Amino acid sequence: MALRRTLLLVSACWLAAGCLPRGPAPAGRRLLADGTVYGVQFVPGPPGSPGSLIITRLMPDPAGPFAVYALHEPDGDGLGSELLLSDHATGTTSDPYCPYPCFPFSDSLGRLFIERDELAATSAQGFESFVNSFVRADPGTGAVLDLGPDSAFIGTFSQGNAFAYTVSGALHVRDLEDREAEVAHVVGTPAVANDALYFVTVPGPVNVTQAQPEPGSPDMTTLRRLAGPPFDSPQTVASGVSSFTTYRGGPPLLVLCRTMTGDLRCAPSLYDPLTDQETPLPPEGGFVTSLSPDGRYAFRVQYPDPPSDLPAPQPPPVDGTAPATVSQLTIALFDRLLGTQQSAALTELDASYWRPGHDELWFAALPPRDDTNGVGPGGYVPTAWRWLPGSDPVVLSNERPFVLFAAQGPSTPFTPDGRFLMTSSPSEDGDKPTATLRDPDAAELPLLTLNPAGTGVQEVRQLPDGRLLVSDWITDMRRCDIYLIDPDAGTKTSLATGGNVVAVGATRILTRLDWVAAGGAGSLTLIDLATGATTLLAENVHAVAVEPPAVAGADPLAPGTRVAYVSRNRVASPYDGVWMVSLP
Amino acid sequence: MAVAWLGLAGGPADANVPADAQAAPNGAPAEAVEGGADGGEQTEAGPAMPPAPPTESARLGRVDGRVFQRGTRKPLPGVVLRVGLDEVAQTDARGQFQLLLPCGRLHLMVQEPLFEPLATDLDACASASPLTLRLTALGDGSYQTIVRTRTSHQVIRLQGDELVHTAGALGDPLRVIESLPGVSAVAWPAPVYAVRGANPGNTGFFLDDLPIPALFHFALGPSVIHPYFFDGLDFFPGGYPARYGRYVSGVVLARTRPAPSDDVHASVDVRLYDAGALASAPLPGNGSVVAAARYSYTGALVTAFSTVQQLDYWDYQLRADRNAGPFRLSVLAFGSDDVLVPGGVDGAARALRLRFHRVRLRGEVALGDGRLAASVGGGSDRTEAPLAERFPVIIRSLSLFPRLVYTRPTRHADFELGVDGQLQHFDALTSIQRADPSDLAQSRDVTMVAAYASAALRALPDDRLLLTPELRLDSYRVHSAGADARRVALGPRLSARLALSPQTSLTASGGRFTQTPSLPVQLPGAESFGLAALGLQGGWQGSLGINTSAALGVELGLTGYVQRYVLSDVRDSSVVARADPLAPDYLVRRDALSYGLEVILRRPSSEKLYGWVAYTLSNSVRAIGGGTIAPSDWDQRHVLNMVAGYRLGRYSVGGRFHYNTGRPVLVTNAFGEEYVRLPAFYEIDLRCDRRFLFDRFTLDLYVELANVTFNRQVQRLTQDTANGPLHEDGFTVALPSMGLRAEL
Repeated sequence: MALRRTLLLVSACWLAAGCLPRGPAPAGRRLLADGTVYGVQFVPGPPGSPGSLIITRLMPDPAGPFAVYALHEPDGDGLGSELLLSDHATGTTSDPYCPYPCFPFSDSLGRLFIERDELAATSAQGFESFVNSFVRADPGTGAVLDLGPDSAFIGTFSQGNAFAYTVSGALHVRDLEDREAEVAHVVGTPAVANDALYFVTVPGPVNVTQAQPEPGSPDMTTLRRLAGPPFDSPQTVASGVSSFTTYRGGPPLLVLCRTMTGDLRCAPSLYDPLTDQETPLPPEGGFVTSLSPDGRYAFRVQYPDPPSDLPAPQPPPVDGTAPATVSQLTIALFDRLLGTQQSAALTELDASYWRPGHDELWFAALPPRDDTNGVGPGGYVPTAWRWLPGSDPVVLSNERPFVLFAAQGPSTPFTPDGRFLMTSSPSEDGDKPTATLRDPDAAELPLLTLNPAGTGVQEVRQLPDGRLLVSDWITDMRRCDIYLIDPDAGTKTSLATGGNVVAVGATRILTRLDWVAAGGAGSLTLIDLATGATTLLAENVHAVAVEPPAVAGADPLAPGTRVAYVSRNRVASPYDGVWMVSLP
Repeated sequence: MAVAWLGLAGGPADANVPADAQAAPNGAPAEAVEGGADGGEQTEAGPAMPPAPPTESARLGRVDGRVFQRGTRKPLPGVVLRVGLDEVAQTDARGQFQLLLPCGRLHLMVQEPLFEPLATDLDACASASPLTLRLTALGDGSYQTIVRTRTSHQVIRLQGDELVHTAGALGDPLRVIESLPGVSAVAWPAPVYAVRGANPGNTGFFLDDLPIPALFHFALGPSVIHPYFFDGLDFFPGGYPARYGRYVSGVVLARTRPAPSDDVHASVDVRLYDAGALASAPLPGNGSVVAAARYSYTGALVTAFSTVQQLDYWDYQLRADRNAGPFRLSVLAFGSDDVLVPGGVDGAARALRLRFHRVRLRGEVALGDGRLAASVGGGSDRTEAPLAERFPVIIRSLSLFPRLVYTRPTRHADFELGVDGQLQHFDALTSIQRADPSDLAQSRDVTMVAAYASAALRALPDDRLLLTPELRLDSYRVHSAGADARRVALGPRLSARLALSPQTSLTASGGRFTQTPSLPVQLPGAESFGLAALGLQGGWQGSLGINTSAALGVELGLTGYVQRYVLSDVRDSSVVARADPLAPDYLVRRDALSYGLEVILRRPSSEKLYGWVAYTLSNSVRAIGGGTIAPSDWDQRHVLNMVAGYRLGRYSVGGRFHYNTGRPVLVTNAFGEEYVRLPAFYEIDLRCDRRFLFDRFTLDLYVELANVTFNRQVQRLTQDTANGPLHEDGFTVALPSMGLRAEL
């Protein structure tokens, strides 16, 4: 009888596949047992309060594909609860140029702003029209303020005590108590800079609430500034300004544009909101493309006016031969402090970058045209140039800036501290050039090769101590070999393979290794930078969010830091869902 | 040479009518008999002469001759020649005979099993000599397609001409196995076979005990071994003998045979996409040699219809046998080469080149009451493949395959002891330098040796029980710059066959099998790696079956199996275009389980209507981690094959119906991922053979079309939205095959 029972038990085990191991359970506590969760995010809470957790699910709709929920942790055991904040969301609003790590915009009450995109109608011909809008949602209560159709978020200002938005082009501001003001006669795109709202108006009553007429000539446009609540009358910043530009990630300067009579071009000037000083730029020199990190210099580019009876310049052919028509352009550096401007001629400008922390411009360009053959030395392959104010641009032979597309922060060939420059050979085409690390002050001598032959650099992050975390890919940009590079010591240490970096801390990094493209998931693993020791937290992790540190500048991966993640296996798993773990 | 005399009174001799000009009275074609010019020779006593004739007055004539199989140059030994009821001669090993007959016309008859009877009149004193008789084989020489042997192991044996005549196999013996139970052709028409739920790379293929590093040429090409080089195939879907190892699933053993030593033979075959030749000849003194080669001109066709720059392949095989004193020696050599250069300016960087050579020297000698066989094989492989689309990876390897086997049969048991080894050195060249590469991309030395013992015990009356306990001890070592991994694995095995009645028997087998990590598809040089990172693949197998011979010559076999393994699985099989086999985590160690039921109902090919129905019900699952047990990438739940052939004179027609349910694939859209099974697939294959028999050669013409209904093979499913319809990505391919083969 015992034998029979044993046989039956073994048979049942075999047939049910129950004898196969199911793998380790994820670390931490499960908040939601749901395999349909797509993303997870922390939203900064009010000052001194913990942040909120939101999750997203995908919707079967070609419009805004996400449904956003607030996920509340349970007080005791059991699962958390969720509140729908918005459907048809395209995402939460955030600053695309914010330094890592980035979190969604929220006001000082911890409410976030969600952009929506909803299908409005489908024509008889099958064309679909969509209505864009955004809502402000309170993750704690689930309260949602719908700003209406055709609304667009501009930004928060007054330290999060107010936000600005437009509805069908009309500018609105709203404070924490939902006191609202509408600003009329606004043209162009408003912007938030230096914690204030800037916009350009045409003559007329500029504040509907207060209905104060604004004097001035009918065609006079004015740059104005609105401080936070209680939304007093906007201040006039400068008259005759037809448009302005802010440079996110750069100094808090505005580049103003005044239209010149009889000329389509505008006369530029630099406006400093801190000092309320405006510095005009020489009319010649072209538009301002960027500002130096400290705001002293403006980089300007002047393209030639194409003759009306000639075809526009053609891009150079890839084989390096000279195109039929070559245009010269002028680049200029304007010194805001001295009011001087120096210029140089180029055949073609590819891109330009300011070295962080330095008044030093680097750009990729062709040299001035050589009248004998129509091209500069090296043919039509842009190379790296260094331009120090006060001197002529100097070419770095046979190298061009190696720039990674940055999902967050500016795309630049420099390390964030500005100590190192990355370049690649102009002859290396394709998606996997070999990137070389250089000292910008002695750029002719390479320091280190960032990626082995046959691999491409996917990401470079800099640790607080200046070391670099480099991710190289071969066939899948999310399956990278991860190296720790110490440029000073000239060492390169392999940390992990087959994954990607989620977050960087002071002494360790959070990664998803063993990345599986199908399903987009990997094993959430902590790696100690000093020892290389790994700690597996969970398998099949699809999305991760690290709670922002309570104190600015604190270690983002300090022990106890809460990490929320979505475990989602390719096949429905008993472990699927949203989990929260405190880092060991 | 057998010599006979005849003293019977015969009819009046007709010395003026040569034998080959007379019609055989039973209707046998006159051209079946050929006469020489030395007829009428008087009897002379000689060393091999028979006793004196009973009547001294009778004049005797002597006729020498040979008997061949018609359409070939194959001599037929042991054929009895009769005049009336009397046996007058029997052919020797070379098909030769000598007749001493009274002068006068006699009626000579030849009746041999499996051949059409032949009759002719001759006059021993007047007929030309030597006399050549050609017997026409019944059923064009086809014997039997599937033979279940009396071994205790569960084996399906394929042999005879039907190796190359089974519909759907396109003339390739190795393709026939896709119609057998337990086999899933997971990506038809690509010859990728998963056996009993294991990965395709877990099944081993051997040619005369020598591992075959690659089975088929590129681009739906034929197998790398000339089809007529085979003598037969033994397919062990599981529980294979301890003589073989290093595969956790089944093995396929392809056998060659010594070439006929009677004469020079040759065959030439020309097909739509390649041409080959096979020739054999006796060696001076003793022994024989056979060689085959094939060259594809597919490249010209492909380049004419596609952007492919080059697609070529060739292969060769050679076997020579010779006796040297007490030793029987043989040399076997084979090799293959494939080149595929895609189109585009970077085609050369994305080229795929596979080449391997194998040679083996084997000697066998009687030792005591048994036989001792020793062999040593050598191999050279080279694989060049692109990684990340444009970075060539080149792997070269040199291999040594020693083997020593002693067998001794006794009344109640057959014993076998052996050792075998696989010593390999790999050199890997790649332009991609990565942090922690798989040792597949590193130079390494591999030492795998094994010792085994096997005893096939016969018990119970009439040897009704055949029990074979076996034990195999495998040692593995993979030594590279980064690691020196060693493993030892004990592989006990047991198989049994119990005859319940003369028609019915039970079979059972079980055991443990091990293997180094393997890729899903065999590639030369891409083997014997990953031991340090992944450990050994290992599995326990068990099966239980019953076989019975029912009425009408139909045999029924029913087998259930369970296999529990730890396998090296591809971690992310859904990624094909961006696959990175050199990544250290390309493979992952997974627990696996498969079980199922196999049914085969067959009628042997000795019948006019023959064929089989094979059905496999299987379930194969993997523990993919994260709490999930998922179906294997190769899991086809139902597989049905119906193969039939029918002989109609010189014609032979055949067909195959194949049906399988879809294997699971990962469907990915912006909203998530899930496993969905591909739609079921069925195909119908048709084949027609026509044999033209000439006296000295045979001409075979065949036409075959696989997937005559142009059914679409779906390889992938895509979905744009979560609830949207599934789009099927696949192709429709019908494989025509047409060829001509002349055999001398």
